[in-house]
Amino acid sequence: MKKQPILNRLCVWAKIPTDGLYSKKYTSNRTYSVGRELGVASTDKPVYAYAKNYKKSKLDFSLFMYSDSSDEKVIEEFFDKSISKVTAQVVADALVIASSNNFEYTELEFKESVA
Amino acid sequence: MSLPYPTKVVLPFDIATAQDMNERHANDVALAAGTGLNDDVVTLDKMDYSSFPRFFAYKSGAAQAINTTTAVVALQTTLYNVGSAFNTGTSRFTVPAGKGGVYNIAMAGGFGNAGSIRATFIARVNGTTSYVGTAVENTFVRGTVAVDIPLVAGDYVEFIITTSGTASTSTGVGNVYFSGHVVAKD
Repeated sequence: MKKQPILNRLCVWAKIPTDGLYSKKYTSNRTYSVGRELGVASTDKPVYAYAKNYKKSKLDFSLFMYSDSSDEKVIEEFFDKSISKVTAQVVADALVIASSNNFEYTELEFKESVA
Repeated sequence: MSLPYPTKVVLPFDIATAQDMNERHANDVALAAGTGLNDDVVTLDKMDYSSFPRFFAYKSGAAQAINTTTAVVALQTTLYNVGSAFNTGTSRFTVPAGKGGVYNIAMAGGFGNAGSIRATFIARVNGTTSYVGTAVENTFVRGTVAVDIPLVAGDYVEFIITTSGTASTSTGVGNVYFSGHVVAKD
C-alpha cells in the first residue's frame, strides 16, 4: 500500500533549496492520513506542504509538514518553536536516510489552537 | 537574471501539480531562450566563458566566384569579434593562447545562380584537416551547417565552399557567414 503523509506531524528531512518558509497548496490528488482515516485534498479542503531550513550542531536540515492549515505565520511559529525539541541525534539520523521517500517523523504534532 | 519561477522544492510525498508543470515549462523556455539563469543548476549559461573568443563574420563585399577548386570564402566584416580572434584580412579564426576547447563553428552560404550544382561546406583546420559540413545538390539555393571541432591554441579555422561547377556566392550578413564560440573548455 502506498505510504501517505501524516497530516500535521512534523518531520525532519534534508536541507531544501530555498530560503524562508516554503509552502505548496494541493487542491486535488493529494492523499494523506489522519489517524486511521485516509483523506484527499480538494478545492474545499486543500492541503498544504510546508518546509523550512534550520541548522543544529553544524548540520543543515529542514523541518517539513503536511497540514490542512493555511496560516503560514502560525505554521512558521510552530516550526521555530519545535526546533528546540528536535535533538541533534534525530537530525543526524534523518540526514543519514534522507531521500525522496525517506525522512524522520517526530512526535511533534501541529494543533492550530495551541501552536 | 533569474528564472520566472523559483527552483522547485520536491518534498517526500510530493505530487507535481498542473501549476508545477506550467512553471517548469516556463523555466525551460526561459533557459532555452537565454532570458533566464538557473541559480541552482550549473548550466552552460552559468559557466564563465566571457574570456573566450567568439565571432560572427560575413561577406559584405562583392560576390565571390566558387568552383571545383578549394578556396577560402572571403569574409570582410564582423558582426561581433570578441577577443579579435577572427582576422578579416585572412578570413581565419585563430584560437588564442590558453583558449583551447571544443568550438562550435557555423557556416552558411547562399548562391545567386542556384542551379544544378553540388556545394560542400567545409570548416578547414590549419589548412589541412577538413570538417565537412554539408553537401547540397540540384535545387541548392542556400545551406547552413554547424560542427563541433576540438581546437588548441594556435589552430586556425577557415570556411571553404567547393562546388561541382562554377557558381557565385550571394553576399550580405543573411547569406554568407561564418561564426564560432566555445562550448567546452579544455
